[in-house]
Amino acid sequence: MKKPAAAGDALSLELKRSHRRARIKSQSPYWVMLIIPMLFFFLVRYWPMFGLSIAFQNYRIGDAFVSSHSRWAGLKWFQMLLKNPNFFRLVRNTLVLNILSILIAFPLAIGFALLLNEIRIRRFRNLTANISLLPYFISTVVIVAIIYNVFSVDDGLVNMILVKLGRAKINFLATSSWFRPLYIGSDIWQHTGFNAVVFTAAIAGIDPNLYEAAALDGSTRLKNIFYITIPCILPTIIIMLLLRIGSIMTVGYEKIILMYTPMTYEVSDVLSTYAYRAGLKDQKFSLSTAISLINSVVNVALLVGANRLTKKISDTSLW
Amino acid sequence: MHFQKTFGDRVFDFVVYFLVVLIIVITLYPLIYVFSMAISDPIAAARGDVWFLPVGINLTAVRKVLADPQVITYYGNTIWFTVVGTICGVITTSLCAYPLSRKEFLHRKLITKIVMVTMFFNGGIIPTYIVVGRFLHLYNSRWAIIVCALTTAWYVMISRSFFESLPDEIIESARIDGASEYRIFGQFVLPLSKPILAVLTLYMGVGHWNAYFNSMLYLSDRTKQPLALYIRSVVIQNTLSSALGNTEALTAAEILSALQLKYAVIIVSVLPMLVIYPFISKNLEKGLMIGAVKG
Repeated sequence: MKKPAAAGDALSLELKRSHRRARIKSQSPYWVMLIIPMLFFFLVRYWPMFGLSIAFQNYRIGDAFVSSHSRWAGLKWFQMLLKNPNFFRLVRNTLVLNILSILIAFPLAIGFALLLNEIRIRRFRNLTANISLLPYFISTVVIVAIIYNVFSVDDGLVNMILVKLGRAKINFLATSSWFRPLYIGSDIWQHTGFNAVVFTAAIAGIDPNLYEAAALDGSTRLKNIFYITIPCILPTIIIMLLLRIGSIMTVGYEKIILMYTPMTYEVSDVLSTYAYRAGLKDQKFSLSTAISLINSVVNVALLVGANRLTKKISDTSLW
Repeated sequence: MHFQKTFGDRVFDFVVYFLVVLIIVITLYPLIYVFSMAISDPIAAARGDVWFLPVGINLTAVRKVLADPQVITYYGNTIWFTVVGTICGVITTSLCAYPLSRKEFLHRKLITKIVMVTMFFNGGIIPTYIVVGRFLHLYNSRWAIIVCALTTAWYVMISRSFFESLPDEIIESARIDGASEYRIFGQFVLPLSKPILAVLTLYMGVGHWNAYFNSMLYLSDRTKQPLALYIRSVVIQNTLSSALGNTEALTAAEILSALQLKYAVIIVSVLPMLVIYPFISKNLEKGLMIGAVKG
């Protein structure tokens, strides 16, 4: 009885082995292809995540992220932040810039997509779309450089016009009250065309029969916008709004770092720029990381929260 | 079918075209102005006579920028970052996306999750800086810039969905013919994937051409820095002396053209983009929609 069973075992073992060998052979090319990408994701994206632990340490450059020598500091940096009167200012500025952008730039992108859709001459529509996308391909540095030149207090176009009109010169880049208009304005100039693309795509997907039926009922084009186009692209609008709200605590620090001066910190200094200065200028690595950590935790919480809310209200969801 | 245009329709059309023309003017005006300032007569530029089109052509400023050996170094660096970064990026992205698009790959769900997490979480500026600069010893190395921007979860996802949309029969028949997975990928899949490769090249190329932040973090050596950092120091931090080289030997004409230099630097930097743009813009929107619809 035993022998055949053993032979059977050996056979099935052999079968399993060859199966496994075949599987490894069929799977191995995929793993070989993934070597470089996975090295990248683990080294450059995941390794720094472990580095978030330095927010709870007195980290000094040269230390490992976590080791037996780590100087743990508990919540010291977080408490320090909450006590810092400037912390409130950072949060406020971050929120104000984002809320302004959601209230002004976001609707403008939708409006621009609707406007494009109303251009009846196809060529002209494509031309307009292409021109509106052009600023997206111009770098932040160049855009800020243009702002510096055009609004320069010495020889900028705007101040020359002011002088010709007999008004006093304004040092736009060093005046707090001008920071937000310049920041949001240039953001609109650069990104409206690009942000409209997703809405244009949604509008292109609307069933043309809807418009024909409406035309038979004597509807005007203006009415069509409000009763057909906008309701049809509402899911897209909601998703884009969700993503936008999910990043309400993040401001493009790349642009602010170029645009702000200590004179305008009152309105221009945001969490991420402060984290940048604290970390790379003052070498306070732990403090800076604590800010980044707060920032991304709030972001993820907001994204999950906003997603849940819209799921309840409208059945539209990110995941 | 031909509809008689009603009065309301005409008013509507008028408003639409008025707004569109206004938007086009607002979009193009700053660029035209910068261009005009750079190539106008220096005296007219300094007096504020230039407000739209160039007044008297004078290319001294542009020539000066182009003749500056420093600018040529910066320019070369930007080109190097763009070319090497885009090639490495496109290769890495497609190598990552292809296995994730194959149903035969048993661990695709796990790997997809590993990639997706990085879309929502990251280590932040400082930990990334410590890892790349210190642990990987890439501080002051050009490769720091390439490595940091190799790919993103977003690029991988749009490429994966493109690969998934390719007809399975081609891959199956190649496999029956005995082609290895590498050959299938290289000889059958990639040639069919030109649209997505073009989109990746475009996004990454533009991204590298315009990037300045990582260079600011990792590259202290001026001879390795890209043009964007030069513009930052000349225009934004206003250190014109470095652009002019020798400050003591300034002639009156040179002082006049100092203002124009700030505009000329911008033109030199955006010109390649403006020249290429009409050629890419044809397929631009289609390309962007690949990303937009999937998102």
